[in-house]
Amino acid sequence: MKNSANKIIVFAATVVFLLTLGFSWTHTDHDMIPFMNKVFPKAQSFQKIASSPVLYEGKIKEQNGKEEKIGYVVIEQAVAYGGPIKMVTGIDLQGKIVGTVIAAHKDTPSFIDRVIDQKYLEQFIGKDITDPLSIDKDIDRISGATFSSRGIAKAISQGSHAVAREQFGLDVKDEVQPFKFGPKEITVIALVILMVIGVTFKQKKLRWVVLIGSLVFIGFQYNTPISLANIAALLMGNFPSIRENLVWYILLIGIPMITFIIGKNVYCFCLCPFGALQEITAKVGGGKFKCCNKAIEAKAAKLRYILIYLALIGAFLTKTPSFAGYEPFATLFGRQGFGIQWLILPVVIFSSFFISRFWCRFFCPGLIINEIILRPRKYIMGILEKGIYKKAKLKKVQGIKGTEGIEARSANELNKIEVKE
Amino acid sequence: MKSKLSIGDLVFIILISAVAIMIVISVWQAFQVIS
Repeated sequence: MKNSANKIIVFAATVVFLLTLGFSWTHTDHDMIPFMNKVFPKAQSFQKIASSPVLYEGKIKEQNGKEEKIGYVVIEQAVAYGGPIKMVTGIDLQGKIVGTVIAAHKDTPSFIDRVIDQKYLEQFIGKDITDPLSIDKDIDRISGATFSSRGIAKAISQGSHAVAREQFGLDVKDEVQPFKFGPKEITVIALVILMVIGVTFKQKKLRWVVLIGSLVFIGFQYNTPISLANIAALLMGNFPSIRENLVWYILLIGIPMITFIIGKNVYCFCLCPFGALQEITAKVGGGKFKCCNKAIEAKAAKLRYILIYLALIGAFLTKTPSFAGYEPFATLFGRQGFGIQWLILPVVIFSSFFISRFWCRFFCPGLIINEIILRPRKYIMGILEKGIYKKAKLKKVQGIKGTEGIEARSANELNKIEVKE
Repeated sequence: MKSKLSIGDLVFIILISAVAIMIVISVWQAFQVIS
């Protein structure tokens, strides 16, 4: 009876998850008129003249009643860090940008706040529609919101260039972003390679080198640890440009592939910067607090399933991947927390002095994501093993072991790391 | 035989519950900011 009730709950939860995920892929068109009025206040009416990108003519009524065109409003979007940013840009008949505004976005709110507070959009006013609007050449980026700065500039340049081509008959090409391969990409790739070597050859010292390197670079220097917000963005189809954000692909695509091939939770144990911090604090504080019996601990570890589920559903319903990022990573590494997040961080760090990997074991989505990756691997390996055994004509074929143990084993591995070293 | 909760159990349960509640509040605050 209890079993069937559980099955119904899991089925209902899966249906809700898939429905909300499907909803997150749908597009909604907000009323753009208030934004168009904002960028082109002189215009008394707007007439749509193109759909890709969406383009309007701004018009005023003359004394004789005739309508006269005074410029254009173009609506275009580009992907920033957490999701797309939709920009509304006004252009006069001389081909100059007269105003631009963010009409909608799914990026991390704190990044957008920073962009608005530092009057980033004012830099675009007066620019010609043929200008490439390159970051760091024509436009100064906002420190701490680089991807948002880039996404906005890209949306405005794509829109204004389309107007230049279609309405002014100019031969303007969108700037092809150069493949960004700098210190950040090199550092992350180096850490991933060292991590693979460390795991393959079971080098404990190398593991510590990678963990500390990750804490310094992936954590504090570049603030780019894998977060549930990234997973939500992936599920919602918000892929940033690989030319500009190679690290995103290394961490979100490369690491799961390595996990699948090696068959171990490599990220949590060997690369996660917050995991590194948790291990360091446990070393300092002892991390030996034996709080309670295993049954309570196991039940506590289940809490994260509910938290992750709710956070993802929220992200899908609001169509905002950053909504799911409840981890204290951005608060610590980017000082981008808000509200109660500033309380969660010290409580978690304080607890991790006494309870080994407190956040990882009870709240982090990492173990569950790894479980999702390793579960099919275990199934496939089981089938392969079965085939091998059959070939060898063994009478007793070993069945596929249950996968329930993955999470428990992961938790045990976490404990063993502390005990062994 | 009933199992008794030790002080350690209670501290742990309170701590875990407090962090979980704080996370739920933080998600709610994120919703307020977004909407």
